[in-house]
Amino acid sequence: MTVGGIIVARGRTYGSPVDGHPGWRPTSAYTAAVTVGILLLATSVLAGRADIALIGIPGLLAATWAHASRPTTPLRADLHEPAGPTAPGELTATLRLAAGPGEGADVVHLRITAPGHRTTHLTLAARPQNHAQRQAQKQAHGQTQDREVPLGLSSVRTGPQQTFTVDLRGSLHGAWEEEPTQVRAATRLVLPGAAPLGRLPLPRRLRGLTGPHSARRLGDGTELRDIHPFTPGDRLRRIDWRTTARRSPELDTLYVRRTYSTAEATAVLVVDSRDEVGPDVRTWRGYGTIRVDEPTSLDLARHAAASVATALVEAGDRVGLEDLARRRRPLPPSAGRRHLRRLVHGLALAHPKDPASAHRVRPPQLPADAIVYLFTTLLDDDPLHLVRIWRAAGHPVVVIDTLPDVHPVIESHLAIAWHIGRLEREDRIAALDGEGIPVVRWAGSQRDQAAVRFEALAHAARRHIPGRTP
Amino acid sequence: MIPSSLTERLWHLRLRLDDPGRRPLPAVTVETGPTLRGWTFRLALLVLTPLLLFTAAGRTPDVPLGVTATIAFLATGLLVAHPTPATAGGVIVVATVLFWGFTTEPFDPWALVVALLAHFLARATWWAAHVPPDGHTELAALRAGWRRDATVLGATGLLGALAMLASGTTTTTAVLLAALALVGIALLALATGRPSREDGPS
Repeated sequence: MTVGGIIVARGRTYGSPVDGHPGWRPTSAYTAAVTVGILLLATSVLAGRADIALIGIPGLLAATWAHASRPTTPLRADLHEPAGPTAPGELTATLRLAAGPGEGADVVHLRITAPGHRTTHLTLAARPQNHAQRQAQKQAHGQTQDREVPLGLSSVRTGPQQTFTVDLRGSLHGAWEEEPTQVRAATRLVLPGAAPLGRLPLPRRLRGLTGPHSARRLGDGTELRDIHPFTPGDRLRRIDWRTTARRSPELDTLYVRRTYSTAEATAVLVVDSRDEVGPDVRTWRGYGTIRVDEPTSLDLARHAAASVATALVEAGDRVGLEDLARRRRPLPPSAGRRHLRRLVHGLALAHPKDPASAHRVRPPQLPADAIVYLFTTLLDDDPLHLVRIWRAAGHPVVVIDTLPDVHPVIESHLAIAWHIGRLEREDRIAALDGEGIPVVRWAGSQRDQAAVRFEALAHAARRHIPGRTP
Repeated sequence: MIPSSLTERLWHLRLRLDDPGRRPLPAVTVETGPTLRGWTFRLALLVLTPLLLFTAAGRTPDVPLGVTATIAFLATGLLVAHPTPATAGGVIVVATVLFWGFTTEPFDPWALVVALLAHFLARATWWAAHVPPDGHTELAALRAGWRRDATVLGATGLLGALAMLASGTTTTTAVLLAALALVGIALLALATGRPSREDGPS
């Protein structure tokens, strides 16, 4: 694209402008100084007073100075961003200004914009001014004329984020100005962070032959089940010689130590990304701008899901991901750090498909004996419908409520609408509670209590299923 | 009924004042050296404009204070509201007319002070035109042109001293010589055939 005569691509300005000129123009300050100087000169001649001409002298001399030192090199700028994905609150970039070796800009005017942020107007010296800055630049890049300006955003949002757009214009001696150019940063992917969680609820039946948990069947594990007489098929190394000597001194019967087998749990994270709402009810229908310094429901869902996924994967369990908006293919359950990175990327890319369209949500296909973690705002009946289907199929379900703490509503029509919506939502939560489905709230101050709530749920599940220790 | 309505209004007013959705948007963080807020340039104009006009008018007898004050008030308001080089040039011309007073005085050394103030006014106007009141300017950017300003003001002082010395002998001849010198400077500044755009290497 071309902005102000300068080719802009991939967040950099480069090459010559399209019309072959560097883009420097004399300003109205230059014209005004010359005009006032000549006018006062003429007046002084007519009035016969040299002191009148003296008032216009500084402007004329400054214009002469500016005319004698015409700029020859354009100001170049590019934005350097950290490679790879970013964590929330760390959206930064470095604006590098290269004034060039010849006569270039001495002052740079910047207009920095970013979605959800105030426009910042800034005027900077085009070159590093003090010796320390120049030495640092020389050591870093071998250029003492380049200047680096670190930029940062206050966004706590996750997912794909538009960042900086910098409009800049160089000026020299206050008399020459460059045509404005624009430098635009690329879209950044902000990955959700993970909060530390303790034990989490697991499915009632564990699967597989290996894993971090003890199953209810016999196998090669570490947890003792019982002492049993030796039978064909038992390994010789499992013979408990002390018990055998005690119970059968004549060695007519050998006794072996039998253990529970190990197994792994399978969990599926279902993210309800059909809508994304912030704490301000006025923005729920797409009007206004959601603030970037407050997390939305989808940010909370991403954070909660990443926390649950991290806790499960670090415990050695298998975790899958389903997105109710169906923008991406589901991630089948798997384990390992690499799969965790895949999950976090999948969460970051979850996004509402079309907020205005209402479509019927089909329950995703789940592996047998998987526990479901559903991250939803519970603002409609679809999650309730899904939970009931999963429960009927025998899957344990944990619902994580990701609606942010809603700000007080001033407008009367919105207050009535939110009042009705809140009552319906409370009815849904009460219905889930009545059906024995735990609802864990993740927003606001209750986020800190979520770990305790998960721990209590895990403890209650273990108490009701004898013979298995998670 | 009235207290209830009043309470409700007060409650809504309090909600409006505490509305988190109406907070100002966050700002982009930029790491720079020490900066100056943009409104300080307008504050400088607020001080420099009356100072220039009163200094210029003070050298001319028979200028009513009310006229000077009115001109200063209007010029200051115009320059603060619309800080452009053309406006600053107009104010400098007005200051010169007040300084002149249509009299035929000999060389007045206060012209140097008026020239100094006029230059500062032009520079402050340039900064006010380029930096919005809520913007910031790095102090290093303000210092970027100090060599030029020092040279210009030094040369002006030198020319003023020469003109003052010349005015002590033959005033008319000195004025004509100074005028010729200024014509030469002006021609140099305007440089006939100046292109409208930079003619650097293609």
